[in-house]
Amino acid sequence: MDASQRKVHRIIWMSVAIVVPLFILFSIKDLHFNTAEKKSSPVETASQELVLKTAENEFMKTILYEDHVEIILKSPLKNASSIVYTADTTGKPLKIIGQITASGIYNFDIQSAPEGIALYDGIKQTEITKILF
Amino acid sequence: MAKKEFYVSYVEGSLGTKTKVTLKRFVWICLGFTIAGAFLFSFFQKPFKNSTFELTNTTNITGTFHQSPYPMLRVKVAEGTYKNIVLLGFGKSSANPYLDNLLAQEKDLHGKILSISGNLIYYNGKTLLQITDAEKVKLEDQNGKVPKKEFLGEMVFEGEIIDPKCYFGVMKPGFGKIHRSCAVRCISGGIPPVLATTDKNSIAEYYLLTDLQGKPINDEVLSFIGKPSEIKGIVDKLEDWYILKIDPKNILILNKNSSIY
Amino acid sequence: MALDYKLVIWNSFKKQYDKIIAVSMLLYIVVFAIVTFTFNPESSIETLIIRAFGSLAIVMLHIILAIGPLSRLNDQFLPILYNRRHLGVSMFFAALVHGGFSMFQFHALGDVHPIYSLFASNMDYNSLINFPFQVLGFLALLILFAMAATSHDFFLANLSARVWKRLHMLVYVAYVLIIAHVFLGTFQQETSPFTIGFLILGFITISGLHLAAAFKERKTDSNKTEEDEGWIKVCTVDEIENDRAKVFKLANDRVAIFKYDGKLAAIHNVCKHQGGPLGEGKIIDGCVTCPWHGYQYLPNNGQSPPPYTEKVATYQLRLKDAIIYINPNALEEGTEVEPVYF
Repeated sequence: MDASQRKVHRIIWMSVAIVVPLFILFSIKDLHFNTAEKKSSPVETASQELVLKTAENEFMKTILYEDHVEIILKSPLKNASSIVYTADTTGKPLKIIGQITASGIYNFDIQSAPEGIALYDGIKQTEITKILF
Repeated sequence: MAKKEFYVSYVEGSLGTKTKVTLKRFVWICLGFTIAGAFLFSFFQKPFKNSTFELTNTTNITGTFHQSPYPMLRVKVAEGTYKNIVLLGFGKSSANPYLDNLLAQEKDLHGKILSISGNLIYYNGKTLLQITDAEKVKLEDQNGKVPKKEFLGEMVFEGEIIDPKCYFGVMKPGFGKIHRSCAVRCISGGIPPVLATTDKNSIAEYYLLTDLQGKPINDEVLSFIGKPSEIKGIVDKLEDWYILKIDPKNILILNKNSSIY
Repeated sequence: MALDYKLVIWNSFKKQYDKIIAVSMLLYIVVFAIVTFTFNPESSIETLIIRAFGSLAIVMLHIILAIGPLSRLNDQFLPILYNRRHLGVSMFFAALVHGGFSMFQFHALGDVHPIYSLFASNMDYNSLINFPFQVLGFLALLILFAMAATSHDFFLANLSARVWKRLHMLVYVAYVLIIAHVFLGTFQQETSPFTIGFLILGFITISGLHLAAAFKERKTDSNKTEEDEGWIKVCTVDEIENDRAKVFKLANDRVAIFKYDGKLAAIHNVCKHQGGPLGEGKIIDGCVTCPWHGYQYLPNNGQSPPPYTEKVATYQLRLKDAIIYINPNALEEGTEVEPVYF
C-alpha cells in the first residue's frame, strides 16, 4: 500500500467510527427489549354457577357445569380441524358438542354430564387429545 | 536483540515458535468467538409458532365451493359441523387460475361441490389448502350449501395485515418486518389479505379483508402489510371466518411493536 | 511470483488453514442447529438455514476484518494474512447460501421477477426503521461476489495491484451495508440485547483495531526530514539490523533501505504483488523477501530473480560520517544501483 491508500484507509475508518455508532443508535433506540415476557394464556371467567367437575391436561382445561361445559384451550392446537365430543369412561367419543378453533374459552351446552371430553381432527380422522373427569 | 521471526510460505521451518504460539492463540480465540456467535444467534431467537405446512403430504378434501369473495371450500368435518378452508395457489399466487379449467365447463362454481387434493396449511384453528395442479381439482356431480353471512356491524381493530399462506404455516416467522416483502408478494399475487389481531387476553382472531363492496382487495393494502395498524371496517361472520370490509383510507399505521405472536 | 496461474498453489500451511476454516464453519452450523432444535423445536429448516448461514457470514467477516490491522500491529499475525483470501471466499459462500435462500423464500414464485421484487416490494426508502433492508444485504452480497471472483493472482496481475486493492477495499462498504442490513432487518423483530450487543462489541473491536493500525502507520508517514544538497538524511548505519531494512518516508512514497553483507541498498517499499511492505521483509538468499507472500527482489536493482519479471523502483544512497542519505528521486523500476559499502 502506498501513502494515498493508507490515507484512504484512515479516512474510511474515521468516518465509519463516527457514522456507524450514530446509525446503530437511531436504529435501536425505539426497540423494546423486554418482549421476552411470557404471554398469558386465556383465563377462565369467574362463574357464579356450581362447578361439578374440572379436569386439565397440557392442551386444555375443562370445567363441567350442570348444563354446559367450559373448555379453555391453552395454546394453539397443531391440527387442521378440532371437533369436540363427549366421551365415555375410556375416552371413546360419543356425541359431537361443537368445534373449537383458536386458543381461548369455549362453552358448549350439554344434556347430561359426560365422563370425559375428546378432541378429534375431523379432516385427518385422528384423536387429538382426551380428558376424563 | 532476539532474532525476529520471519515466515515465508516456501521456506521450510520458517514458521517461528513465537509466531506459532500467536497463531494458535488466535485460532482458539476465533473458535471461541465463532461458537459464542453460534450459541447467541441461535439461542436468542423468538419462539416459533406451531403452525404447519404439509409440504410433502397431500390431503384430499371435498366441500362446497364459494367465493366470499376469496375462493373457499366449506368442508363437512363431522356430522352437522363445517369448516371453511381457504384455497390458495402454488407459490405466491391465488387459487383462481387453478379453477379456470372447470370454469370453462361450468359458468359459475359458487355452490358446486369440488374435491381437491393439495397441501394443508393450518394454525390456531384456521385451515388453508395449497393447490399445485389444476388437474387435482375435480367437480362433483352435486350442489352444496354455502355458508350464510351474518352482519355484525362496524368495528375498529388493532392488528397487522398478514398473508395467510405464510402466517398460518409456510414460513416462520410469517409476519412482521422480516417477512414484509414476502407478504407483499403473496398478497400482490392474489392471496387474500388477513388482519391478525390479538386481544389483551392473548385471544387471536383473524379477518379476511375486502373492499367496502365485499370485493377482493390486494394492491390497495400493500403498503400497510406487516405494520401494526388500526383498521376500521364492517364485520360479517361467515361461520368460522370473519370478513372485514374496509376502505384502505381508514387504515392507520401505529408506531408500535407487533403483538400478534 | 506468477508465471502461470493455477487455481490454488497448495502447501501444507494453506491446507491446515483451510481445514480450520472448514471445521469451524461446520461447527458453527451444527451448534446453531442443535441449539435451535433443542430450544425451539417448531423452527423450520428454511429459517434455520437462512439464519445460520447469515450469522455465520457475519462472524467470519469480523475475523477477516481483524486480520489486516492485527498484522500491521504485530507481524506475528502475517501468516494469517498470507491465506486470508480463502477465508474471504468461504465467507462469501456462507453469505451466498443466506442470500440465495432468502431470495427464493421471500421473492421467488411471485407475480414479478425476484430481483425486481427485492427492490420494489417494500418501498419505504424514505424511512429508517422500515427501510427495505434486504436491498442492503443484496448490495453487500454483490460486493462480496466481486471480491470472491477476483480473489486470485490472475486478477490481481491483470487489474493491477492498485485497482485490485481499491476493489477489495469495498469490503468496508460491504461491512457497513451488512451492519445496516442486520440492524434494520432481523434486529427490528428478533430483538435481543445479547445479539445486538455482540455485533456492537464486534464493531468496537474492528473499528478500534483499524484506527489503531491507521495511527501507527501515520506516525511512520509523518517523520521529519533533513536535507543536505538535495539528499535527505535517513539514519545512521547502526540503526538498521543486518538483513533487514528501515522504512523511510519520502514525499509520497515509502522507501525500504536494506543493510546486508556490508552493503546498503534502497528500493521502493511497495511489493508489486499485493502492495505488501517490502521494508518489513528480510534478505533471504540475497533477495529482499516480502513479508506477505514471499515475493522476492534483488536489492541492487529491484528486479525479481529470473524467471520472474516483477520490478520495483530503486534509489541512490550516499554515506557521510556513518549517516545514510538518500536521493529522493526514484530511478526507473529495475534500475541497477551500485550498493553503498560501509
